[in-house]
Amino acid sequence: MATAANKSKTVIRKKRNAKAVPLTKAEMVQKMLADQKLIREARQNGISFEELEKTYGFKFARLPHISNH
Amino acid sequence: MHACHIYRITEFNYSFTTEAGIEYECSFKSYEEYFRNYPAIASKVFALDLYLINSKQKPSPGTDKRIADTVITIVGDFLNSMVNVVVYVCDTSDGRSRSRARKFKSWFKYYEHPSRQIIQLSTDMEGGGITLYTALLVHKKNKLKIQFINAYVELTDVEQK
Repeated sequence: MATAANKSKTVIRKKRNAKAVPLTKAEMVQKMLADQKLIREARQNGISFEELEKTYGFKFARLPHISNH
Repeated sequence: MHACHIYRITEFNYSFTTEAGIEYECSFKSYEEYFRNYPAIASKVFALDLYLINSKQKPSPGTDKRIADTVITIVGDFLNSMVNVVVYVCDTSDGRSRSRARKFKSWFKYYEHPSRQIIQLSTDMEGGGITLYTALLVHKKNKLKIQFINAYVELTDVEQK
């Protein structure tokens, strides 16, 4: 039977901590690109936004209805 | 405006298909984590993510011009609340971030176009030997636009570590 500890090892990237440490400029740039890539690839593989929020701690805007199409 | 047909709007994303049958998706991810020094505005900053969903087909160099109108429509709608702002970070994965930045910048320069309600501020952000081409988009009537612009300039400032 899988323990909670073992289960956590299967998660590729841990959810962010609530108290974030300030990032350096280099870390910020790398993180922006890494997150962008992760979201793009996840969506191309059919992963839902809810799953992305739950697994990686991302927060996506809830969208208004578009007015002029 | 000759926007592509936006065929799907969900709680989280817009989707549209070009004339060539290429499917795009657009969503807005919170950038609050990068603006923690500005608690009054941090929760209102979102990154625009625009990507191909049907990645088996590659867009041709003569891209469907309606893509620009479609993205302007989507971003315009998002900014119409006059509360939120959008940061666009050009994808660097294929080495075409500079041309992508140039194209994106031109989209919001149209004269007599709905995008005239949007202020665009473009700048590069450097860190760890990487140059990111970025842009801030804010509605002209956003009451906190000066705070957003100052925060964005500070975030992207090369002198800052």
